[in-house]
Amino acid sequence: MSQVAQAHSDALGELYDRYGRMVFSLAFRITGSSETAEEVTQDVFVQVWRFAQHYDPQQGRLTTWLSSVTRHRAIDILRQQNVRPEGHADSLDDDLFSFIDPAGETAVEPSVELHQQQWQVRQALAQLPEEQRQALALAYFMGMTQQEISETLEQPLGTVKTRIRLGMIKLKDLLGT
Amino acid sequence: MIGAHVTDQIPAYALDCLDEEEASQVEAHLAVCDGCQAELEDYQATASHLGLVAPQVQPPPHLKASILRGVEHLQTGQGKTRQKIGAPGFWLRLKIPVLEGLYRSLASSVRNTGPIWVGVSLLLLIALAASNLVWWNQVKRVQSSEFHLVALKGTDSAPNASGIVVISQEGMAGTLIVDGLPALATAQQYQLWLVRDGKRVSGGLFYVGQNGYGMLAVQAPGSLLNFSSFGITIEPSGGSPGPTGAKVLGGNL
Repeated sequence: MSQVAQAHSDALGELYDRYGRMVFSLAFRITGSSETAEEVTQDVFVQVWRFAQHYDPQQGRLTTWLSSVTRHRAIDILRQQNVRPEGHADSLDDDLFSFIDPAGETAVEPSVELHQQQWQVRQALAQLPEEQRQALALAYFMGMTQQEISETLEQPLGTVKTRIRLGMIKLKDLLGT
Repeated sequence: MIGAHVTDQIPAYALDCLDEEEASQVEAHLAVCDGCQAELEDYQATASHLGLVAPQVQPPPHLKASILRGVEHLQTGQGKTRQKIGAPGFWLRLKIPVLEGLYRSLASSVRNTGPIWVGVSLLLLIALAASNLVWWNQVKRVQSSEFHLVALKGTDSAPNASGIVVISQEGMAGTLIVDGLPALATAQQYQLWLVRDGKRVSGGLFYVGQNGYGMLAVQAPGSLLNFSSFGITIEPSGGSPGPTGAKVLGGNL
C-alpha cells in the first residue's frame, strides 16, 4: 500500500491482481450487472490509488477496507439508478447455502489468504439460523433497511431487528472481530 | 437518546440498515461515547466479512488495463478548474438579476468580438466589487431579520472553498450551501459536523457537482443554535460516526 501511495502503477496493478476479483465479485453480487460491477471496480481502485496514504493498517485488514468501499459504492450506484437488485427471498437463501458449500469450490481459485478468510466466514455463517442469515444477506447485499426487510419477508419489524442483532452478535463472536 | 447507550442498534448501524431517524440518533450518541464507537468498529469489521462470501467471478480481461489507464490519466491531468465565489457562474446561481444580465452581456460581447481583455477585465472587477457589496448587504439584512447565518471558511485542504449555513430563527431548520469544493472520488462524501462542547454530531452528507457547488438540508438533534460551530470533512460514502477525513470548511456560530 505504501508503494501505491507513491503512485506506482505497477504496485496498483499488483494490488488489482490480488484483490480485483474479490472486488469485482462483490460488486457483481450486489448489482447483478457485469457492466455496473466494472464501473464499481474501477471506482474502488481509483479510490485506492488516490487515498492509499490514508489507509491505516491498524484499522483493519485491507480486505475489510476494500469490501466496505466496494459495497458502499455498489449500493450508491444502485440508488442513483433507482434500481433494487433482482432477487426473491428464496433465491437469496439458495445463494447463501451455496456460499457455505463445504467443498468451497469456486469457478476461480482465490489467493490462499483470501480463501482462508472465505472459508472462515462460510463456517461462521453455517452456524447461524437460516432466518438470521437471510436477514443479514438482505441488509448487506441488497442494501435494505430493517423496515424494507420486514416488508419483503412479511415479518414483524421487531422480529427482523432481533434476527439482525442476534445474527451479527453471533457472527462477531465466531469471527473474533 | 444522546446519553443512552445504543448497544442494541450498533450491529444494524454497522450494516447500514437503520432508517434515517434511528441512524441519526445513533450518530448523535456515538459522537459522545467512545465505548460505543469502539464497539461499532468491531461490528463494522464483522459486517465487512460478509462481502467475502460472494461467489468469485472473473472480471473481464480489459478491466485491469482500463483501471491503470484511468489512474495514469489522473496523474497527468491534475488541476481541475474550480469555480470560486466571485466567478460569474457563482452569481448566476445566486440569481442576482442585475449581475446575471451583466455577465450574459459580457459573455456575449467576448464571444462576438473576440477577447477585449482590458475592457472586460475592468468591467468584471467593477461587477465583482459591486456584487460583493450587494452580497454582504443582503447577508446583513437577512441576519438581522429572520435567520441566523454562519459563514464557513476553507481550510488548507480546500483553500478556495466557502460556505454558509442559513438557520431559521428558532434554530430548528437549517440549510448548508457550499461552493468551490472539489468533486470527490465516488466512494466518498462530504459530511457536515455540528460541534458542541468538543463533541461532534453528524449534520448530514452531501455531494458537490463538478462546479463545486452543493446544498444540504441540515439534520440536527434539536436546535442548531445549541451548537457552537460547524465543520465539513471528507468521509467514506455513507458517512462516518465521527470525523475521520480532512477538514475542508469550518465556521463558528
